[in-house]
Amino acid sequence: MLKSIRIENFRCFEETSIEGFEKVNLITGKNNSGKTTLLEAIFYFIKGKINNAEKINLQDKELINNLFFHQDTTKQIRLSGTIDAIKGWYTLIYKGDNTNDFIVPSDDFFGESHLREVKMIGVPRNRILDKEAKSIVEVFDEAEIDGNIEFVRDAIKIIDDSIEEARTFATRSKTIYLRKVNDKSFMPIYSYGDATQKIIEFIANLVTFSKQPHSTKILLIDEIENGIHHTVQAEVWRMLMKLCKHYNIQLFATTHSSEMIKAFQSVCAEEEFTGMGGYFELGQHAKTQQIIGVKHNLDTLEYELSTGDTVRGE
Amino acid sequence: MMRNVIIVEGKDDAAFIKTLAAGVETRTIEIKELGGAGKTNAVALTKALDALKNDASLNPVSKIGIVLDLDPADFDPTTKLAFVNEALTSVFGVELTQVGVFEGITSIEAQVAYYFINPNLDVLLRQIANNPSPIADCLHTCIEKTAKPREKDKAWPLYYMRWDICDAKERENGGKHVNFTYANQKAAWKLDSSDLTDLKEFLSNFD
Repeated sequence: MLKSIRIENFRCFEETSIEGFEKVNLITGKNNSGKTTLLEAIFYFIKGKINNAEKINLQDKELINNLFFHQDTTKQIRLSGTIDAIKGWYTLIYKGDNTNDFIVPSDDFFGESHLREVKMIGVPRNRILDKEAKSIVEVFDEAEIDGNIEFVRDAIKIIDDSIEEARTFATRSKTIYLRKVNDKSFMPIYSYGDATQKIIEFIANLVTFSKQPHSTKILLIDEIENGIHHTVQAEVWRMLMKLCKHYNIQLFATTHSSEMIKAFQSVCAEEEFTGMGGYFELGQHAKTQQIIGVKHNLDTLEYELSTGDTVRGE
Repeated sequence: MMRNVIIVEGKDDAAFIKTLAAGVETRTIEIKELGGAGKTNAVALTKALDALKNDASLNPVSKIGIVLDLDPADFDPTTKLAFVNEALTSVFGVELTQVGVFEGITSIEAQVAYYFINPNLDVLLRQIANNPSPIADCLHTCIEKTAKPREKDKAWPLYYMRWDICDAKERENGGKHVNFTYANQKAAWKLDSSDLTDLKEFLSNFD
Protein backbone atom coordinates (compact mmCIF):
# COMPACT_ATOMS: atom_id res chain seq x y z
CA MET A 1 0.00 0.00 0.00
CA LEU A 2 1.25 3.48 -0.87
CA LYS A 3 1.81 5.25 2.46
CA SER A 4 3.25 8.56 1.32
CA ILE A 5 4.45 10.48 -1.70
CA ARG A 6 6.82 13.37 -2.27
CA ILE A 7 6.48 15.35 -5.48
CA GLU A 8 9.12 17.77 -6.73
CA ASN A 9 8.99 19.98 -9.83
CA PHE A 10 6.00 18.17 -11.32
CA ARG A 11 3.28 20.25 -13.03
CA CYS A 12 1.80 22.56 -10.31
CA PHE A 13 3.80 20.90 -7.52
CA GLU A 14 7.13 22.49 -6.73
CA GLU A 15 7.79 20.60 -3.51
CA THR A 16 5.06 18.71 -1.68
CA SER A 17 4.97 15.76 0.68
CA ILE A 18 1.76 13.99 1.64
CA GLU A 19 1.70 11.26 4.24
CA GLY A 20 -0.81 8.96 5.87
CA PHE A 21 -2.58 7.41 2.90
CA GLU A 22 -5.13 4.74 3.79
CA LYS A 23 -6.79 1.95 1.85
CA VAL A 24 -9.47 4.26 0.38
CA ASN A 25 -8.50 7.91 0.00
CA LEU A 26 -10.68 10.86 -0.95
CA ILE A 27 -8.91 14.00 -2.13
CA THR A 28 -10.55 17.39 -2.33
CA GLY A 29 -9.55 20.99 -2.86
CA LYS A 30 -10.43 24.06 -4.87
CA ASN A 31 -10.06 24.16 -8.64
CA ASN A 32 -6.41 23.98 -9.72
CA SER A 33 -5.32 22.86 -6.28
CA GLY A 34 -3.57 19.86 -7.79
CA LYS A 35 -6.02 17.01 -7.20
CA THR A 36 -5.76 15.44 -10.64
CA THR A 37 -2.04 16.10 -10.74
CA LEU A 38 -1.62 14.24 -7.46
CA LEU A 39 -3.31 11.23 -9.09
CA GLU A 40 -0.97 11.59 -12.05
CA ALA A 41 2.07 11.72 -9.78
CA ILE A 42 0.93 8.57 -8.00
CA PHE A 43 0.33 6.96 -11.39
CA TYR A 44 3.83 7.70 -12.66
CA PHE A 45 5.42 6.87 -9.32
CA ILE A 46 3.82 3.44 -9.19
CA LYS A 47 4.50 2.79 -12.89
CA GLY A 48 8.10 3.86 -12.42
CA LYS A 49 8.09 5.12 -16.00
CA ILE A 50 6.03 6.78 -18.69
CA ASN A 51 4.92 3.95 -20.88
CA ASN A 52 5.20 5.44 -24.31
CA ALA A 53 8.41 7.35 -23.77
CA GLU A 54 9.92 5.86 -26.87
CA LYS A 55 7.03 7.11 -29.03
CA ILE A 56 7.22 10.80 -28.21
CA ASN A 57 6.67 13.00 -31.23
CA LEU A 58 6.88 16.77 -31.61
CA GLN A 59 3.34 17.26 -30.45
CA ASP A 60 4.07 15.21 -27.34
CA LYS A 61 7.02 17.48 -26.54
CA GLU A 62 4.47 20.07 -25.49
CA LEU A 63 2.99 17.48 -23.16
CA ILE A 64 6.42 16.75 -21.78
CA ASN A 65 7.15 20.43 -21.13
CA ASN A 66 3.88 20.68 -19.25
CA LEU A 67 4.97 17.92 -16.92
CA PHE A 68 7.53 20.29 -15.38
CA PHE A 69 6.77 22.94 -12.76
CA HIS A 70 6.56 26.29 -14.56
CA GLN A 71 7.63 24.31 -17.67
CA ASP A 72 11.18 24.61 -16.42
CA THR A 73 12.78 21.54 -17.97
CA THR A 74 16.19 22.42 -16.59
CA LYS A 75 15.12 21.14 -13.19
CA GLN A 76 14.51 17.50 -12.48
CA ILE A 77 11.13 16.04 -11.70
CA ARG A 78 11.53 13.82 -8.71
CA LEU A 79 8.86 11.50 -7.36
CA SER A 80 9.49 9.55 -4.20
CA GLY A 81 7.40 7.73 -1.70
CA THR A 82 6.86 4.82 0.63
CA ILE A 83 5.15 1.60 -0.31
CA ASP A 84 4.51 -0.45 2.81
CA ALA A 85 7.87 -0.05 4.55
CA ILE A 86 9.97 0.41 1.42
CA LYS A 87 11.10 3.83 0.33
CA GLY A 88 11.68 4.45 -3.33
CA TRP A 89 12.29 7.33 -5.69
CA TYR A 90 13.18 8.11 -9.23
CA THR A 91 14.08 11.15 -11.20
CA LEU A 92 12.63 12.29 -14.48
CA ILE A 93 15.05 14.25 -16.64
CA TYR A 94 14.21 16.01 -19.89
CA LYS A 95 17.06 15.84 -22.40
CA GLY A 96 15.98 18.19 -25.17
CA ASP A 97 15.36 16.33 -28.45
CA ASN A 98 16.78 13.12 -27.14
CA THR A 99 13.64 11.98 -25.38
CA ASN A 100 14.26 8.27 -25.54
CA ASP A 101 15.36 7.88 -21.97
CA PHE A 102 13.98 10.76 -20.00
CA ILE A 103 13.08 8.49 -17.14
CA VAL A 104 16.03 7.53 -15.04
CA PRO A 105 15.22 5.04 -12.31
CA SER A 106 17.44 6.03 -9.46
CA ASP A 107 17.57 3.02 -7.21
CA ASP A 108 16.64 -0.64 -7.04
CA PHE A 109 13.13 0.22 -5.93
CA PHE A 110 11.87 0.23 -9.46
CA GLY A 111 13.58 -3.00 -10.25
CA GLU A 112 10.57 -4.44 -8.52
CA SER A 113 8.00 -2.50 -10.52
CA HIS A 114 6.49 -5.73 -11.81
CA LEU A 115 5.08 -6.16 -8.29
CA ARG A 116 2.98 -3.02 -8.67
CA GLU A 117 0.07 -2.07 -10.88
CA VAL A 118 -1.95 1.11 -11.15
CA LYS A 119 -5.00 2.08 -13.18
CA MET A 120 -6.48 5.50 -13.70
CA ILE A 121 -10.05 6.46 -14.55
CA GLY A 122 -11.52 9.81 -15.47
CA VAL A 123 -8.41 11.71 -16.55
CA PRO A 124 -8.35 12.84 -20.20
CA ARG A 125 -6.19 10.52 -22.29
CA ASN A 126 -4.23 13.45 -23.70
CA ARG A 127 -3.09 14.27 -20.19
CA ILE A 128 -1.90 10.89 -19.03
CA LEU A 129 0.84 9.39 -21.14
CA ASP A 130 -0.42 5.87 -20.73
CA LYS A 131 -0.99 3.86 -23.87
CA GLU A 132 -1.67 0.70 -21.86
CA ALA A 133 -4.98 2.00 -20.52
CA LYS A 134 -7.82 -0.28 -21.54
CA SER A 135 -11.26 0.64 -22.78
CA ILE A 136 -14.31 -0.02 -20.65
CA VAL A 137 -15.28 -2.87 -23.01
CA GLU A 138 -11.90 -4.55 -22.63
CA VAL A 139 -12.09 -4.28 -18.86
CA PHE A 140 -15.67 -5.56 -18.84
CA ASP A 141 -14.73 -8.57 -20.97
CA GLU A 142 -11.79 -9.30 -18.69
CA ALA A 143 -14.10 -9.30 -15.69
CA GLU A 144 -16.39 -11.75 -17.49
CA ILE A 145 -13.54 -14.05 -18.50
CA ASP A 146 -12.23 -14.01 -14.92
CA GLY A 147 -15.67 -14.99 -13.59
CA ASN A 148 -16.16 -11.70 -11.76
CA ILE A 149 -18.94 -10.23 -13.84
CA GLU A 150 -21.51 -10.66 -11.04
CA PHE A 151 -19.79 -7.87 -9.12
CA VAL A 152 -20.29 -5.58 -12.09
CA ARG A 153 -23.93 -6.58 -12.50
CA ASP A 154 -24.59 -6.01 -8.79
CA ALA A 155 -22.99 -2.58 -9.10
CA ILE A 156 -25.20 -1.65 -12.05
CA LYS A 157 -28.26 -2.43 -9.93
CA ILE A 158 -27.19 0.23 -7.43
CA ILE A 159 -27.75 2.80 -10.15
CA ASP A 160 -30.73 1.16 -11.85
CA ASP A 161 -32.27 -1.99 -10.41
CA SER A 162 -34.39 -2.48 -13.53
CA ILE A 163 -31.31 -3.56 -15.50
CA GLU A 164 -31.25 -7.32 -15.69
CA GLU A 165 -28.33 -8.09 -17.97
CA ALA A 166 -25.09 -6.49 -19.16
CA ARG A 167 -22.87 -7.91 -21.90
CA THR A 168 -20.80 -7.21 -24.98
CA PHE A 169 -21.30 -8.54 -28.53
CA ALA A 170 -18.42 -9.47 -30.80
CA THR A 171 -20.38 -8.47 -33.90
CA ARG A 172 -21.56 -5.09 -32.69
CA SER A 173 -19.80 -1.82 -32.03
CA LYS A 174 -17.42 -1.86 -29.11
CA THR A 175 -19.54 -0.91 -26.18
CA ILE A 176 -21.47 -2.59 -23.39
CA TYR A 177 -25.12 -3.45 -23.94
CA LEU A 178 -27.75 -3.51 -21.22
CA ARG A 179 -31.13 -5.20 -21.09
CA LYS A 180 -33.89 -4.18 -18.71
CA VAL A 181 -36.31 -6.53 -16.96
CA ASN A 182 -39.11 -7.56 -19.35
CA ASP A 183 -37.28 -6.08 -22.33
CA LYS A 184 -36.19 -8.42 -25.10
CA SER A 185 -33.63 -6.20 -26.76
CA PHE A 186 -30.33 -4.78 -25.54
CA MET A 187 -29.55 -1.06 -25.59
CA PRO A 188 -26.01 0.39 -25.76
CA ILE A 189 -24.72 1.78 -22.47
CA TYR A 190 -24.33 5.29 -23.89
CA SER A 191 -28.11 5.51 -24.09
CA TYR A 192 -28.16 5.34 -20.29
CA GLY A 193 -26.87 8.01 -17.88
CA ASP A 194 -23.22 8.74 -17.16
CA ALA A 195 -23.50 7.07 -13.77
CA THR A 196 -24.18 3.62 -15.23
CA GLN A 197 -21.10 3.79 -17.44
CA LYS A 198 -18.96 5.15 -14.60
CA ILE A 199 -20.00 2.52 -12.09
CA ILE A 200 -19.32 -0.27 -14.57
CA GLU A 201 -15.89 1.24 -15.22
CA PHE A 202 -15.10 1.47 -11.48
CA ILE A 203 -16.18 -2.01 -10.61
CA ALA A 204 -14.81 -3.71 -13.72
CA ASN A 205 -11.42 -2.13 -13.10
CA LEU A 206 -11.46 -3.24 -9.47
CA VAL A 207 -12.41 -6.83 -10.15
CA THR A 208 -9.94 -7.23 -13.00
CA PHE A 209 -7.26 -6.39 -10.48
CA SER A 210 -8.29 -9.33 -8.38
CA LYS A 211 -6.50 -12.03 -10.35
CA GLN A 212 -3.36 -10.07 -11.00
CA PRO A 213 -0.29 -11.14 -9.06
CA HIS A 214 0.91 -7.66 -8.07
CA SER A 215 1.42 -7.03 -4.37
CA THR A 216 0.50 -3.34 -4.72
CA LYS A 217 -2.63 -2.56 -6.69
CA ILE A 218 -3.86 1.01 -6.93
CA LEU A 219 -6.94 2.43 -8.64
CA LEU A 220 -7.11 6.19 -9.27
CA ILE A 221 -10.46 7.84 -10.03
CA ASP A 222 -10.71 11.50 -10.95
CA GLU A 223 -13.91 13.40 -10.10
CA ILE A 224 -15.64 10.33 -8.74
CA GLU A 225 -18.95 12.12 -8.21
CA ASN A 226 -19.62 12.87 -11.89
CA GLY A 227 -23.04 11.61 -12.91
CA ILE A 228 -23.70 9.78 -9.64
CA HIS A 229 -26.86 11.02 -7.92
CA HIS A 230 -26.38 11.89 -4.27
CA THR A 231 -29.00 9.33 -3.19
CA VAL A 232 -26.79 6.43 -4.30
CA GLN A 233 -23.37 7.87 -3.45
CA ALA A 234 -23.14 6.11 -0.06
CA GLU A 235 -24.01 2.80 -1.70
CA VAL A 236 -21.31 3.37 -4.33
CA TRP A 237 -18.73 4.02 -1.61
CA ARG A 238 -19.88 0.92 0.25
CA MET A 239 -19.36 -1.24 -2.82
CA LEU A 240 -15.99 0.30 -3.64
CA MET A 241 -14.79 -0.18 -0.06
CA LYS A 242 -15.97 -3.78 0.07
CA LEU A 243 -14.12 -4.59 -3.14
CA CYS A 244 -10.97 -2.73 -2.08
CA LYS A 245 -10.98 -4.64 1.19
CA HIS A 246 -11.73 -7.99 -0.41
CA TYR A 247 -9.13 -7.69 -3.17
CA ASN A 248 -6.58 -5.64 -1.22
CA ILE A 249 -6.72 -2.74 -3.68
CA GLN A 250 -5.87 0.82 -2.72
CA LEU A 251 -8.13 3.55 -4.07
CA PHE A 252 -7.51 7.26 -4.57
CA ALA A 253 -10.41 9.41 -5.73
CA THR A 254 -10.88 13.15 -6.16
CA THR A 255 -14.11 15.07 -5.76
CA HIS A 256 -15.61 18.56 -5.81
CA SER A 257 -18.85 17.41 -4.23
CA SER A 258 -19.72 17.99 -0.58
CA GLU A 259 -22.44 15.33 -0.94
CA MET A 260 -19.79 12.82 -2.03
CA ILE A 261 -17.62 13.81 0.95
CA LYS A 262 -20.57 13.38 3.32
CA ALA A 263 -21.35 9.96 1.87
CA PHE A 264 -17.68 8.98 2.20
CA GLN A 265 -17.51 10.14 5.81
CA SER A 266 -20.67 8.30 6.80
CA VAL A 267 -19.60 5.03 5.14
CA CYS A 268 -16.12 5.26 6.69
CA ALA A 269 -17.81 5.49 10.10
CA GLU A 270 -19.50 2.11 9.59
CA GLU A 271 -17.96 -0.68 11.64
CA GLU A 272 -17.12 -2.80 8.60
CA PHE A 273 -14.95 -0.02 7.17
CA THR A 274 -13.34 1.38 10.31
CA GLY A 275 -9.79 2.54 9.66
CA MET A 276 -10.06 2.19 5.88
CA GLY A 277 -10.71 5.79 4.90
CA GLY A 278 -8.42 8.80 4.56
CA TYR A 279 -9.58 12.32 3.66
CA PHE A 280 -7.10 14.86 2.26
CA GLU A 281 -7.56 18.51 1.38
CA LEU A 282 -5.14 20.07 -1.09
CA GLY A 283 -4.43 23.78 -1.14
CA GLN A 284 -1.74 26.37 -1.33
CA HIS A 285 0.01 27.35 1.86
CA ALA A 286 -0.37 31.10 2.29
CA LYS A 287 3.23 31.73 3.30
CA THR A 288 5.28 29.19 1.37
CA GLN A 289 2.99 29.16 -1.71
CA GLN A 290 3.63 25.41 -1.89
CA ILE A 291 0.76 22.99 -2.35
CA ILE A 292 0.15 21.07 0.83
CA GLY A 293 -2.09 18.11 1.63
CA VAL A 294 -3.95 18.34 4.93
CA LYS A 295 -5.18 15.01 6.26
CA HIS A 296 -8.44 15.42 8.20
CA ASN A 297 -9.37 13.15 11.07
CA LEU A 298 -12.66 11.55 10.00
CA ASP A 299 -14.36 12.46 13.31
CA THR A 300 -13.31 16.06 12.78
CA LEU A 301 -14.55 15.85 9.19
CA GLU A 302 -17.99 14.96 10.51
CA TYR A 303 -17.91 18.14 12.62
CA GLU A 304 -16.63 20.20 9.67
CA LEU A 305 -19.39 18.90 7.43
CA SER A 306 -22.05 19.65 10.04
CA THR A 307 -20.83 23.22 10.57
CA GLY A 308 -19.93 23.94 6.96
CA ASP A 309 -16.32 24.52 7.97
CA THR A 310 -13.40 23.71 5.77
CA VAL A 311 -15.11 21.80 3.00
CA ARG A 312 -13.57 23.16 -0.12
CA GLY A 313 -13.59 22.60 -3.79
CA GLU A 314 -17.28 23.18 -4.43
CA MET B 1 -5.45 40.02 6.05
CA MET B 2 -4.70 37.58 8.85
CA ARG B 3 -7.73 36.07 10.50
CA ASN B 4 -8.73 36.01 14.14
CA VAL B 5 -11.10 33.28 15.28
CA ILE B 6 -13.20 33.14 18.41
CA ILE B 7 -14.70 29.83 19.45
CA VAL B 8 -17.98 30.05 21.34
CA GLU B 9 -20.58 27.55 22.48
CA GLY B 10 -23.60 28.34 20.33
CA LYS B 11 -25.61 30.72 18.18
CA ASP B 12 -26.63 33.07 21.01
CA ASP B 13 -23.04 33.31 22.19
CA ALA B 14 -21.92 34.06 18.64
CA ALA B 15 -24.48 36.85 18.23
CA PHE B 16 -23.54 38.29 21.62
CA ILE B 17 -19.81 38.30 20.85
CA LYS B 18 -20.39 39.80 17.41
CA THR B 19 -22.33 42.63 19.03
CA LEU B 20 -19.74 43.28 21.71
CA ALA B 21 -16.91 43.05 19.26
CA ALA B 22 -18.57 45.57 16.96
CA GLY B 23 -16.59 48.32 18.59
CA VAL B 24 -13.42 46.33 18.19
CA GLU B 25 -12.99 45.00 14.66
CA THR B 26 -15.55 42.51 13.48
CA ARG B 27 -14.18 42.17 9.97
CA THR B 28 -11.30 40.03 11.13
CA ILE B 29 -13.18 38.01 13.72
CA GLU B 30 -14.82 34.76 12.77
CA ILE B 31 -17.07 33.00 15.20
CA LYS B 32 -16.98 29.21 15.42
CA GLU B 33 -19.89 27.59 17.21
CA LEU B 34 -19.36 24.41 19.19
CA GLY B 35 -22.99 23.51 19.63
CA GLY B 36 -22.38 23.15 23.37
CA ALA B 37 -19.21 22.54 25.33
CA GLY B 38 -20.46 21.27 28.66
CA LYS B 39 -19.34 18.27 30.60
CA THR B 40 -21.32 15.94 28.35
CA ASN B 41 -19.85 17.40 25.18
CA ALA B 42 -16.13 17.47 25.93
CA VAL B 43 -15.19 16.24 22.47
CA ALA B 44 -16.80 19.24 20.75
CA LEU B 45 -13.98 21.61 21.65
CA THR B 46 -11.35 19.11 20.49
CA LYS B 47 -13.13 18.71 17.14
CA ALA B 48 -13.51 22.48 16.72
CA LEU B 49 -9.81 23.02 17.42
CA ASP B 50 -8.81 20.18 15.11
CA ALA B 51 -11.00 21.65 12.35
CA LEU B 52 -9.39 25.02 12.97
CA LYS B 53 -5.95 23.41 12.71
CA ASN B 54 -6.93 21.95 9.30
CA ASP B 55 -8.36 25.28 8.21
CA ALA B 56 -5.39 27.32 9.45
CA SER B 57 -2.98 25.10 7.53
CA LEU B 58 -4.34 26.60 4.30
CA ASN B 59 -5.75 29.92 5.54
CA PRO B 60 -3.51 31.19 8.34
CA VAL B 61 -5.03 32.38 11.59
CA SER B 62 -3.34 34.95 13.79
CA LYS B 63 -5.24 34.71 17.08
CA ILE B 64 -7.67 32.20 18.52
CA GLY B 65 -9.99 33.07 21.40
CA ILE B 66 -11.93 30.49 23.35
CA VAL B 67 -14.94 32.05 25.10
CA LEU B 68 -16.96 29.53 27.11
CA ASP B 69 -19.45 29.59 29.96
CA LEU B 70 -17.87 28.66 33.27
CA ASP B 71 -20.97 26.68 34.31
CA PRO B 72 -20.25 26.52 38.07
CA ALA B 73 -22.61 23.57 38.48
CA ASP B 74 -20.06 21.43 36.65
CA PHE B 75 -16.79 23.36 36.88
CA ASP B 76 -14.73 25.82 38.86
CA PRO B 77 -12.18 28.04 37.04
CA THR B 78 -9.41 25.48 37.57
CA THR B 79 -11.33 22.45 36.30
CA LYS B 80 -12.80 24.41 33.38
CA LEU B 81 -9.29 25.47 32.37
CA ALA B 82 -8.19 21.85 32.64
CA PHE B 83 -11.12 20.97 30.35
CA VAL B 84 -9.91 23.51 27.78
CA ASN B 85 -6.27 22.49 28.14
CA GLU B 86 -7.09 18.85 27.53
CA ALA B 87 -8.44 19.78 24.09
CA LEU B 88 -5.64 22.26 23.38
CA THR B 89 -2.96 19.75 24.34
CA SER B 90 -4.39 16.99 22.20
CA VAL B 91 -4.63 19.20 19.10
CA PHE B 92 -1.86 21.77 19.43
CA GLY B 93 0.33 20.55 22.29
CA VAL B 94 -0.05 23.78 24.27
CA GLU B 95 -1.61 24.70 27.62
CA LEU B 96 -3.03 27.97 28.90
CA THR B 97 -2.43 29.15 32.45
CA GLN B 98 -4.09 32.53 32.84
CA VAL B 99 -7.23 34.18 31.50
CA GLY B 100 -6.56 36.59 28.65
CA VAL B 101 -2.90 35.62 28.32
CA PHE B 102 -1.91 34.32 24.88
CA GLU B 103 0.25 31.26 24.29
CA GLY B 104 1.93 30.49 20.97
CA ILE B 105 0.95 27.54 18.77
CA THR B 106 4.02 26.59 16.79
CA SER B 107 2.37 24.24 14.29
CA ILE B 108 0.11 26.92 12.79
CA GLU B 109 2.08 29.99 13.92
CA ALA B 110 -0.90 31.37 15.87
CA GLN B 111 -1.69 32.48 19.42
CA VAL B 112 -4.49 31.29 21.69
CA ALA B 113 -6.14 32.64 24.85
CA TYR B 114 -9.35 31.95 26.82
CA TYR B 115 -12.10 33.74 28.70
CA PHE B 116 -14.86 32.20 30.83
CA ILE B 117 -18.22 33.94 31.22
CA ASN B 118 -19.08 33.58 34.90
CA PRO B 119 -21.40 31.89 35.55
CA ASN B 120 -22.80 31.80 31.99
CA LEU B 121 -24.14 33.95 29.16
CA ASP B 122 -27.76 33.60 30.26
CA VAL B 123 -27.11 35.05 33.71
CA LEU B 124 -24.93 37.76 32.21
CA LEU B 125 -27.78 38.74 29.89
CA ARG B 126 -30.08 39.03 32.90
CA GLN B 127 -27.52 41.27 34.58
CA ILE B 128 -27.32 43.62 31.60
CA ALA B 129 -31.06 43.83 30.86
CA ASN B 130 -31.88 47.40 29.94
CA ASN B 131 -35.67 47.30 30.28
CA PRO B 132 -38.04 46.49 33.11
CA SER B 133 -38.78 42.74 33.11
CA PRO B 134 -42.02 42.19 35.04
CA ILE B 135 -43.29 39.32 32.89
CA ALA B 136 -39.94 37.51 32.68
CA ASP B 137 -39.48 37.83 36.44
CA CYS B 138 -42.99 36.57 37.07
CA LEU B 139 -42.65 33.57 34.77
CA HIS B 140 -39.23 32.85 36.18
CA THR B 141 -40.70 32.73 39.69
CA CYS B 142 -43.23 30.20 38.49
CA ILE B 143 -40.53 27.69 37.53
CA GLU B 144 -38.45 28.44 40.64
CA LYS B 145 -39.21 25.16 42.38
CA THR B 146 -39.58 22.77 39.49
CA ALA B 147 -36.78 23.62 37.05
CA LYS B 148 -33.12 22.74 37.42
CA PRO B 149 -30.79 25.73 38.03
CA ARG B 150 -29.36 25.62 34.49
CA GLU B 151 -32.85 25.45 32.99
CA LYS B 152 -33.86 28.48 35.02
CA ASP B 153 -30.79 30.39 33.82
CA LYS B 154 -31.61 29.64 30.22
CA ALA B 155 -35.30 30.46 30.60
CA TRP B 156 -35.05 34.04 31.85
CA PRO B 157 -33.53 35.70 28.73
CA LEU B 158 -36.05 33.87 26.54
CA TYR B 159 -38.95 35.11 28.68
CA TYR B 160 -37.49 38.61 28.72
CA MET B 161 -36.98 38.79 24.95
CA ARG B 162 -40.38 37.26 24.14
CA TRP B 163 -42.64 38.94 26.70
CA ASP B 164 -40.92 42.15 27.84
CA ILE B 165 -39.22 43.19 24.60
CA CYS B 166 -41.37 41.87 21.76
CA ASP B 167 -44.93 43.14 21.17
CA ALA B 168 -47.82 40.84 20.33
CA LYS B 169 -47.20 41.00 16.58
CA GLU B 170 -43.51 40.22 16.96
CA ARG B 171 -44.31 37.29 19.22
CA GLU B 172 -46.36 35.72 16.43
CA ASN B 173 -43.08 35.24 14.57
CA GLY B 174 -40.97 34.24 17.55
CA GLY B 175 -38.36 32.42 15.49
CA LYS B 176 -37.43 35.69 13.85
CA HIS B 177 -37.74 38.07 16.80
CA VAL B 178 -36.95 36.18 20.00
CA ASN B 179 -33.19 36.25 19.79
CA PHE B 180 -30.28 38.29 21.07
CA THR B 181 -29.69 40.23 17.86
CA TYR B 182 -33.27 41.42 17.42
CA ALA B 183 -33.61 42.27 21.10
CA ASN B 184 -30.42 44.27 20.85
CA GLN B 185 -31.91 46.29 18.00
CA LYS B 186 -34.64 47.26 20.47
CA ALA B 187 -32.05 48.37 23.03
CA ALA B 188 -32.83 45.44 25.32
CA TRP B 189 -29.28 45.23 26.68
CA LYS B 190 -27.00 47.64 28.54
CA LEU B 191 -23.88 47.16 26.49
CA ASP B 192 -22.01 49.76 28.52
CA SER B 193 -22.56 47.77 31.72
CA SER B 194 -19.52 47.32 33.94
CA ASP B 195 -20.39 43.60 33.94
CA LEU B 196 -19.01 43.48 30.40
CA THR B 197 -15.72 45.30 31.04
CA ASP B 198 -13.52 42.22 31.37
CA LEU B 199 -15.03 40.49 28.37
CA LYS B 200 -14.68 43.62 26.23
CA GLU B 201 -11.06 43.90 27.29
CA PHE B 202 -10.49 40.29 26.25
CA LEU B 203 -12.14 40.91 22.88
CA SER B 204 -10.00 44.01 22.34
CA ASN B 205 -7.06 41.61 21.97
CA PHE B 206 -8.55 40.62 18.63
CA ASP B 207 -8.54 44.12 17.24
